[in-house]
Amino acid sequence: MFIPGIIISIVTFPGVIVHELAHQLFCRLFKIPVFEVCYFRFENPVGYVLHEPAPRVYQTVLISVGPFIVNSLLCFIIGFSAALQFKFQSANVLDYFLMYLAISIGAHAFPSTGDASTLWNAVMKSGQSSWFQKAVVAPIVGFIYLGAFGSFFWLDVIYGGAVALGLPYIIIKFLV
Amino acid sequence: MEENQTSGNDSISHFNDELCVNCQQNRFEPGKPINLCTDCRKSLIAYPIPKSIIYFAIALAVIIGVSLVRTQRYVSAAIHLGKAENAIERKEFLTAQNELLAVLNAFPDHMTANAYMMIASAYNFDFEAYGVAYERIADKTTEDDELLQQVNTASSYIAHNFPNDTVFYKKILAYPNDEQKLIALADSTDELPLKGQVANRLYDLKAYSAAQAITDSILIVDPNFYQAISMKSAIKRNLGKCKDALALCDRLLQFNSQDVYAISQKARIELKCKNDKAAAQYADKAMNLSPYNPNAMEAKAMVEYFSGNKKQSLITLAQIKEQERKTGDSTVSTRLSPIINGLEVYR
Repeated sequence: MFIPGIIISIVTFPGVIVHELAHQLFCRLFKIPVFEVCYFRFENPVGYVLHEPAPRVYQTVLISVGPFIVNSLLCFIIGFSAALQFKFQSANVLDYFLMYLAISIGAHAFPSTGDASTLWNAVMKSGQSSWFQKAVVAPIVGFIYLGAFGSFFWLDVIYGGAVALGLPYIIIKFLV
Repeated sequence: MEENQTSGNDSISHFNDELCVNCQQNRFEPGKPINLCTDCRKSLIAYPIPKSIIYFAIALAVIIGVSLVRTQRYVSAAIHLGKAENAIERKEFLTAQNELLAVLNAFPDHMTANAYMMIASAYNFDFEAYGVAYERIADKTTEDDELLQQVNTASSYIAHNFPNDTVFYKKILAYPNDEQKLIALADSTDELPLKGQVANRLYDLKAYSAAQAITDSILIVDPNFYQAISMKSAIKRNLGKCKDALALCDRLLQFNSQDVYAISQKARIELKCKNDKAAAQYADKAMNLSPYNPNAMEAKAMVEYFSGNKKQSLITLAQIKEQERKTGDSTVSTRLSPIINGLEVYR
């Protein structure tokens, strides 16, 4: 079933907000000036952060993939208790809400192609980056584009569901 | 569809290049990608987060807090359930039952946990726990065919112990000491539990060959019939055929590797064959699994008695009697008492 990405983004808007907030917080962490932040809007892109280029490659990488870390973590924490409620067949309205919230946040964990483009320009096109840095960043950019391509097949939502619902079960299996 | 974009300074070339691109009032800090003065840089680093987003973040933090608090209870139950699942896979039904008790204390109506409890309690012959779990899920449906199959197999396993023909069962009780009539009764029924009951009576009469003939006939029909295998093991033990008796116990342990009766029986067989060290190990194992199980306590008492510690064996006998008072079944103390009081020669 094809549903336009903008519709999915609107339905899962909490994830967009967390995604942009993550970019902003990583900028603040590295003392990078931010010029504009749009946490959510009804057009493409649904959110963005305009900031000064980071002076170091690792900072650029972390600002770009920050949402992947923050969104995935929040998705897992919020999803954990709800997932276990489902496992114990005692899920209530709150659990369905928590699961919606967790999957929404998880679905926006993937950095966007805009993030990938920023990363590519800052590292791959920069004469100051070392070969090692380029070797590390190139596959990250590749994965980001792969994720963007996969979003046509709901990969982003599937990822959110896997982290919120599947990961808790795997962890419990591991703890047993 | 969300982006983080770096901002170039190409589009602001019409500004005074000597001044901050943001405020156009102060000189910019040199050596930075974008020409910002110190004040602007500081304020843009701390780019304000709108109140609505702060409230959103606070709400999210509260939700996370609530999630973490709730999760603790569920994690504990989920771990117990996982351990029970693993124990059932390994046929360690005593461990499984203990783990499931912890799950069902928190979630009494959990379908899967009750289904597993039916399985574990069936293989432990814990009729009470089986009945409670059955009552809780009797009217529920499941799409898990594999679990349903396991429950059905376990249910038929425990059902072997219930004779359907109660009139016939009363006839067995009417002739407790008449070997010929008991044999005739066994021949007149196809119901395996009733045949098993007759074999049991014959065993009590020390009519071992007749009892074994009946158990053999049961095992031809159903090679996994618990009562018949355990009875045959006891007969072999009393006939001094320890290897055969132990092998039959191992067959019982294939159904439930924590079958306390079978492990205790192995201890008693080893004692019979004067392998006291091995017997002590089996008795310890049984006691570790289920310290208040009369069969385990019996094995312990016998090991104590044959190692010369008669006083301790009498204390254990008293403890067995105390346990039996709770269930009303004095089978174990009745057969143990003459042995450790020196009235019956066991070996």
